[in-house]
Amino acid sequence: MLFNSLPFLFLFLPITYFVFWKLSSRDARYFWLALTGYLFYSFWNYKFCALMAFSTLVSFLGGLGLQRWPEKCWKRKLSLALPITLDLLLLGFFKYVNFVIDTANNIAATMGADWAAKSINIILPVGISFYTFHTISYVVDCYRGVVKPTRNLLEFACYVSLFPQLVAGPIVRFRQIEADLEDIDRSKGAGQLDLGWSYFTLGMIEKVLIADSIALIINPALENYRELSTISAWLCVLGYTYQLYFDFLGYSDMAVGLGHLFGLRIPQNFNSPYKATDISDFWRRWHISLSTCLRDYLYIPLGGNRVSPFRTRLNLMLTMLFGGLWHGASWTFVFWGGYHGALLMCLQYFDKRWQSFHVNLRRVFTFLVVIIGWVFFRSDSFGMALALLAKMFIWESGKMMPGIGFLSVLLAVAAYFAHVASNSWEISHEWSGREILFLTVMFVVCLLVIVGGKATPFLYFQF
Amino acid sequence: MTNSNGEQNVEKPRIAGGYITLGKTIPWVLALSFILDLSLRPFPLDSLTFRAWETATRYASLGAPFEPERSFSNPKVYGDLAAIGNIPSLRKYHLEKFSTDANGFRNSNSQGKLKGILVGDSFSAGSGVSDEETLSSICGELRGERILNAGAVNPNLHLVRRIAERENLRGGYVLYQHLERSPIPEPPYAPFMNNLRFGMDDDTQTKVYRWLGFIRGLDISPLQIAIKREFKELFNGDILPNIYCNSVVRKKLRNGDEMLFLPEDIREHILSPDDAVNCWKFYRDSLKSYEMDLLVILVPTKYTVYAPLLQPPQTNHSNLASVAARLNAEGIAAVDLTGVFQKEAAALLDKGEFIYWQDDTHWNAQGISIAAHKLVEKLSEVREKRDPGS
Repeated sequence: MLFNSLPFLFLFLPITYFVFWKLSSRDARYFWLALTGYLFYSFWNYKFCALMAFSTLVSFLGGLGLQRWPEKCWKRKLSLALPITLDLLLLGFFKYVNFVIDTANNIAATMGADWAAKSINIILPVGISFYTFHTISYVVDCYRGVVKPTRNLLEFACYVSLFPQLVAGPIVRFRQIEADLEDIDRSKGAGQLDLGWSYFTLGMIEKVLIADSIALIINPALENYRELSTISAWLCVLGYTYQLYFDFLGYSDMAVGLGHLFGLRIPQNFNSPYKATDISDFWRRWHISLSTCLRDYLYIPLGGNRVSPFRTRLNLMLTMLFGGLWHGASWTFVFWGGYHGALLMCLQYFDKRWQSFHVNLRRVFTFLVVIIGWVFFRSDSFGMALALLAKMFIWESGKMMPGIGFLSVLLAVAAYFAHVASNSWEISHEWSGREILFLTVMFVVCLLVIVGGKATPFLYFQF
Repeated sequence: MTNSNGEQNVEKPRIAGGYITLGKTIPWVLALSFILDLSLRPFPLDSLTFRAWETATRYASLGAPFEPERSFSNPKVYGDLAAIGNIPSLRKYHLEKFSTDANGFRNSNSQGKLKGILVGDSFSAGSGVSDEETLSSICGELRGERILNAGAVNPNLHLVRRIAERENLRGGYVLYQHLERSPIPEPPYAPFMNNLRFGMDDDTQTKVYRWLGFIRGLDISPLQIAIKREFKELFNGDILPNIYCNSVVRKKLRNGDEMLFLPEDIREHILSPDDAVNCWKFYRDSLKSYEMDLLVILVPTKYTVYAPLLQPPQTNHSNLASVAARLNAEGIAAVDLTGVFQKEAAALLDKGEFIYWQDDTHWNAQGISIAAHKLVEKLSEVREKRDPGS
């Protein structure tokens, strides 16, 4: 089920909302949110609910174990290692096993071996990368003593299966939402309603009117990328750059808005990343919940920057490679991660010189290198990525892609909101009457587009 | 502070937290949209559809393809591919008269003794053609007997048995139409669910099924269809780019005319001869208890027929001929229409005529007529074997 679908807006959300606020006890609200989370997930594939329940239960028990054995002993280590291992095995099996098999087959074929393993017919469970990160971060935080393990299974199940952030993040850590969960029976509905709907409406506009409209024009063109001219290739890649941002930003804003409707504060996931002045700044602004997770659970445990400069750069590269792989089981994602790792390493070398340039120049250049990275992120293969880059940088005239005028208008609007305007966390959400009328009309337009247009799933569902 | 007219500038009061807030307007918009959509559900679709099919299938009884006793006539229907691809310039407007019988099948004539039952998909039921142009009508006319059109619902043995018992049909025949693109049915060929009656007699079951069909039909929203239509007007390639055109494949024929194809049809569809034998052997043997014959009709897709006539010519490897040969060798009467269709399509194209609609996936009246003649010829052989000299 999508946030931008009629069954969600007309039935699921109103029922979930009204029942939630009719319930008064904490456990009842936990139970209801957990139940609706599983229901929300089951609309995609009910069979995989068991997988999420398993991951939830194992991590919950791991947390209890860590509470029971506070001193360092093998039982404590087991309580940490077992849930993480099982989560990683689940993730590895469902997401990466065929990637490993295909890679092994390719290597064998390159070496001339007459051998090939068969791929396994596996469906990738939606959101598995997100909810396994939720549970892993919980167990690690319990081990580090950052959070006190919960003894309430309903509370933990509610946290893992919370529908606003279930399938595409943000990766909300237990410690970030723990206080709101503890007070779930004390929160009042009306106070957060305006803020919640404000975020949700902005998210809907970002997703439906900007991201999806751009996708309508660029997707058919990118299917035939070999026929693109240089101008069309640039427009497509620029279009994808904004599509990806507004798609995920829209989802995150909708998730934040939905959280507010239930008295839960979901943290910020984007802070105008295309205003970044260097690549490190970009990663502080883009998919903040993932980059902070990678920093706290991978980069710092590897030694972070407390080790030699060489090791620091190696840690950086390893973290970014893993970040790329997290996005998808493909070498293009790994390359994209490595590309960003290399850019971060370069920045460390030339930081002082870089800072001497004018801020706008740094912004433009950072945006340009990010765009080039998205070429690999979007491409199905290295062949496609290299062909697109060749089209972009070696002049080729040709037929203009259809819908170029409409796309140009969309890109101008997207560019304004991405590079100039304040983001949804910087504005006050105190709207005047005219602004409310405008946003309401825009929401109606979104509904019309949802009904009349072609439904597009959120891009981050695949990760 | 004053403006140019000397009036005092007063900052516009912000009314956040006042009576009008997003927390009120958005839920109201959602509630009103939902109520509007629900209240418009019972409205008929006739004026919103481009052909009879969508109107006729909306309130179909359970187990039947169409709403019982429904008639529809529209002089300006056009093809599904022109509609899917949103290509008004390729629409071929024509008349369609569509009527259904009391059981929700496409039969306009219930006179005369029933001899045969036609089962199959939309090709059997007839899409874009009028009642007298359907395969069952033309075959019936050629043979001078009534053939019941039970097309457009998944063929299964219970369906055939139910019709045979209701119509007291013994010693007749079943024409089983199968499209190249469709997978061969897998067992069970007589699914358990299709035989559930819950202790109801025929009349009660019919009424209950009609009501359930009506409720199911309310799932279709005329409001949403109207909005989709308006979107198609907007995204038609003139004002805004046509975002639907990639849903169909547009090809040029050797005479310069354009023809639309379903992308699925462009792929090759190789049927398994073993599955074919297993499936239709079961039907043939089961029908023996009703003393009925079986004739399988294998229909090629539009692309298989027209691929050699494209500019430049294409080939679509089809194994319908070998499947038909295998079935005949196993004693299951089968006819493959690929050869005759390719020949006739080539001959008619030179005259600017077609056997499939240019803007639709289905065959037209001319194609149906050719198919009918071919299968009546084969049917005569089958019937001759059963009853020599009849």
